[in-house]
Amino acid sequence: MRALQEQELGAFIASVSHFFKHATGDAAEIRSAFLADTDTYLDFFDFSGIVDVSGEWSGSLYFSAPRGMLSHILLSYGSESYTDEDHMDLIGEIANMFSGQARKALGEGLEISVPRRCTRIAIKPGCEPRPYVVPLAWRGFEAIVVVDLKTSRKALN
Amino acid sequence: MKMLVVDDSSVIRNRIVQVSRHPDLPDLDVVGTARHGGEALLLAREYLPDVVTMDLTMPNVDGVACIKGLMKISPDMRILVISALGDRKTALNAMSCGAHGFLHKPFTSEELVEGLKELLKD
Repeated sequence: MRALQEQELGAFIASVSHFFKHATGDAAEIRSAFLADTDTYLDFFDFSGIVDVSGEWSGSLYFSAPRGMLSHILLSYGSESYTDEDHMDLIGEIANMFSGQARKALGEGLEISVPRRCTRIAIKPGCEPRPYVVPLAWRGFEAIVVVDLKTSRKALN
Repeated sequence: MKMLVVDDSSVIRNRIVQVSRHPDLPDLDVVGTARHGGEALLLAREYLPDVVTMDLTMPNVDGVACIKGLMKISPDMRILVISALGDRKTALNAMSCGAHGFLHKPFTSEELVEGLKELLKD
């Protein structure tokens, strides 16, 4: 079992940046990734999308963003509705797109679930390997992507 | 031409419906939208669409299973897969099941218009 390597994380981060540029016309500023502190809870923003990963990798990918950022993305998408339900739907869809990119970066052995969506959560990261937190900024809003992946037993067999 | 939109995201479904009204696609008429493959199969039996846009990762009946079901209903149906899964294996699998085109999410309006025009051209 091994953790995600820097090069693999880099390929994934590039795809996160690509999403914002391609979907909205404005690139996101990706800040330095860091390893989550396992002693404290990691506070998330208003809405979070979670995709669980199985196959040759196991773990989860999280994307958490404030309402304002998601409203702006809905606007870019030409949406005529801005309800909580629309924000929840969008956060899950973005997490799904990021996981699709992760599959491209990490290989087809990475199987992804239908996204789960939630509001205002805090997670306590698992011990080893510690998850990566990737902060980003877009149009003045802050958000985070959390990459909590390790190779699974299936990959070792 | 009758079009069915299949995606578990309402934001994406609405966006596809909106783009389908583009002046370059005057013959397209959205007859229904579905949140998953099971719903899509019911609507396809009822409306017999000519064109379908199809997500792959969905609850209940997923996109690949739905494409296989649609091909049994009408092998002439033209299917454009619109998915976040952009790897080669996924695309080849969808095509081998009966899809005619593949568009990777996130997509721009222009890319979707082009994808639908290509689908209608054949």
